[in-house]
This record gives sequence, structure tokens and C-alpha cells, in this order.
Amino acid sequence: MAADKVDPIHQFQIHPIIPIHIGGYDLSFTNSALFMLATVAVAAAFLYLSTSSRSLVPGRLQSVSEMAYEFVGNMLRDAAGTQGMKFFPFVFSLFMFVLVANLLGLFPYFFTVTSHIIVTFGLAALVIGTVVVYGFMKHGLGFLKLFVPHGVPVYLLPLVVLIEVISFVSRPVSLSVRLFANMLAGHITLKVFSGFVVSLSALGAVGVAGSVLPLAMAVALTALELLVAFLQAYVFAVLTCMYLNDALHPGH
Amino acid sequence: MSSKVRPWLDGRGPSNYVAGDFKKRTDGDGLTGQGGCVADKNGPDGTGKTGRGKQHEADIRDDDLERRRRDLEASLATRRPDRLEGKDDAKTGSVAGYGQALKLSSEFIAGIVVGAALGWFIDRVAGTSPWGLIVGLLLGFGAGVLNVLRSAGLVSEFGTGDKPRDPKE
Amino acid sequence: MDAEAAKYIGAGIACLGMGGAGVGLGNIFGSYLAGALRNPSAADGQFGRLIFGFAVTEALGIFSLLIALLALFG
Repeated sequence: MAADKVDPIHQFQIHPIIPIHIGGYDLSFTNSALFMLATVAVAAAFLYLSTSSRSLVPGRLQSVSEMAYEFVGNMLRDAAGTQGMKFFPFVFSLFMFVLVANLLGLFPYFFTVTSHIIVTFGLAALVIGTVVVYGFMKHGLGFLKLFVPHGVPVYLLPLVVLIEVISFVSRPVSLSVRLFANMLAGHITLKVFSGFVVSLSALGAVGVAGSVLPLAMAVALTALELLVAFLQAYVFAVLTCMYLNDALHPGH
Repeated sequence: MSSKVRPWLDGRGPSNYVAGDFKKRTDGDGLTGQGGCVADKNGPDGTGKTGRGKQHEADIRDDDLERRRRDLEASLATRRPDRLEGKDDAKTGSVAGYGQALKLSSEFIAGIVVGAALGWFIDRVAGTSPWGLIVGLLLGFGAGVLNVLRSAGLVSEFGTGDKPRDPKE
Repeated sequence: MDAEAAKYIGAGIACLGMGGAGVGLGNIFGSYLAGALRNPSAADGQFGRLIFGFAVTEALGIFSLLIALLALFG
């Protein structure tokens, strides 16, 4: 019993399910890809099925999806104005993807897609890429006014612009690191406390009695993780809205 | 009975909440704990009828409350200033505080990491080692502090400078 | 001991300075919290100064991180 040590990192390992190698690249279908597909399938199926009846007075499921819709809609309208609503499909998809991926990751034996930094960084790069491309498309070089604050003395300008540029580039990093670190830390903590339960109960009657404490902790942490899963999806979507606002109205 | 209550329910504006109206309301549906005399005055048919009437009233009141709350939300949404990131959830409990702390520290660290990485990359490309790293790290530190200040709502957003922000169209 | 090992040891020693910055930051935030609990109404107004103190203290920690990075990659 004590031989099989609990490895809290094991749950994050990626292993191929269907190996595919094309031209020296490893393009295998992995468990990560499987759960991304599952995330998309669950989100799409939920939204489609719950709104398929289209009743005027929504039932429970329909009101959940309407709540999600209005929640993201209000968020985007608050942050980026009505002009920002053209990005609604983008923000809503991001929000639902992150939320469903986080929630799916809470099931035991499931893989948490958002606990890999490359996934979250990909999402954040998508956001910042949209901001940059749309900003230059709409405002041309005027988009660069974003980096030049008003009322700064000329001799300080190069320094300030450099700092603003670094601050801008650090946005996708902090966006992705935050989501990734929250999910990773939460799942590792859960695993460690569940591991305590196993290794304590191997010690005999006293251990079984003592393992109630980490069990209670694991239950409380699961509730906290549920909250964090929602909160991080919300934060991701809110920050996306704020960055899109920069693309829409640089320089003001 | 409901016709007696409706004028109060449909009344709009702050006059709803003055003492006189409030008293009228308690007289109108004063069924609970007041004894038989009030019930007799309002509903002479007996307690069963008054009970149902009370239920109905409660429904109306709930609907009305819902509607007024929606109106309030709508009018708030139109005139609410755009919230600064993180400012509204600063003091709403320990979990929010934990989230705030994680957010601020991740902003700070992201600034430093990006600054140092840019400096190191410039060093590698231009061969100016170690000056790119030094300058990059210091600039990244500045950017990190700026991120923290911005995230805490103490400094204006990107590009706005010292001007107040334009209202949203 | 070869030079490579000395480099890593030097970087590690340089990182000790970060510990000093950590002590300073704890001091700053602890004092802020103590003051804020005494007079909560004044707490929000001093948040800017809190961040200023944080920045100045953390800058010294960043210097030692810089030395460590220079020892490693410079």
C-alpha cells in the first residue's frame, strides 16, 4: 500500500491515444486533445439542447444558457461599449470553453485542459492577436497611440513608451499564467490532500480515524475549486473584453 | 382587496418609501398576527379567502419587485461608469482577496519576466550581453509596477493619460 | 570545483538578497494592515503609498535577481 506513492503531478501527463507522425512532427491525438474535443462537444451540446425548445418562459436549462449569454453580453457591453458586441461570439466561445474545461477537469480521472500553460497561452495569444490585428485594421498606425500616454514630457517619452510596450506584451503572459497557475495549484492541492487520506488510512485504525481531517479538507477544497473554476473563466473573459476595448478605442 | 393594494404597488419613485405609504401598506394587508378584527375588516368572507388573497398579493408584489429591480438594473447599466479592473471586488471576502492578490502578483511577475526575456533576446540577437538583460529587467520591473497600479485602478488605462475617459458610444 | 559550479553557487548566493526584499515586503504589508485595522477609513487613501513602498523595496530584490541572472546567463 505504501509502495504506490501518490504522485500529484501524474494527472497532468499527456500521453498519446492515437499516435500520428507526419514528417518528423508528433501530431498524435492525445488525452489533452480528447478533452478539448469533449469540452467543445459538451459546451455546444448543452447550449444547443437547452435552447432548442425556445420557450418564451425558459425552463431551468434554458435559463442557465440565457444567463450565460446575458452575463457575457453585459460584461462585454460594460467594458467595450456597444461597438464591442461584434466580438461577442469570440468572447462567449472563449468564456464557455474555459468554463467547461475547468469544470470538466474537476471530475475525478479527467484531464484538465487549462492546467497546461501552452493551452492557456494559446488562448491568450488568440486574444492579443485579435486585439493587435483588429486595432491596426481599424486605426492603422493610430493604434500605436495606445503606447503614448498624454501629458508626458518629451524627454521621458522613450522610456515611458518602452515600459508601456513591455506592459502590453506582458498582458497575454499574465492572462495565461493566471489561469494556468490557478488550475495547476488547485488540482495539485486536491491531489495532495486526497493522497493524505490514502496514506493515513494505511496506518491502521488510528490512521483511518485521523484521515477524516484531510478528507474534510479535500471536500472543502473541491468546493473552492468549483468557485475558482468559474472565477477564472470570468476573469479571463473580463480581461479579454478590456483588451478588446483597447483595440476599439485606442488613445481616446 | 387587491384593488386597495394596487395603487401602492404601481406607484413609482421614492414616494413609495415614505412613512405614510408604508403605513397604508401595513393596513392594507395587515393579516398576520393582528387578530380577527383586521381580518374581518378586510375580508369578511372568512380566513380561507383572506389566505388566498394574501398569496395572490404576494405574487403581485414579487412580480412588481422583479420588474422594478430590472428597471433599476437597466438604468444603472446605462449610467454606470466603466469599472476599473479589480476595483469592484476588492473587499468582498477572503476568496476575492485571494484572487486579487494572485492577480496583482501575476501581473507584476509577468512584467518582469517579459522584460527580462525581451532583454535576453535582444542580447542574443545583437550580442550586447549583458546590457540588454540589465536594461530589460529594469524596464520590466517598471512595467510590472505599472501593471499592478493599473490593475488596482490607481493609474489610468492604456493610452488615456491624464485625460478623463470618453463616455462610451 | 570547476567554473560552472561556481557560477551556479554564485547565482544561488545572489538570490539570498531576494529574501531581504521578502522581509521588507512583509514588513510593509504588515504595517499597512495594522494601520488599516486601526483606521479603516484612511486605508484606501494610503493604497497608493503602499504600492510605492512595495515598488521601492521590490526594486532592491530585483537587483539581486538581476545579479543572479547575470551570473547564470550574462
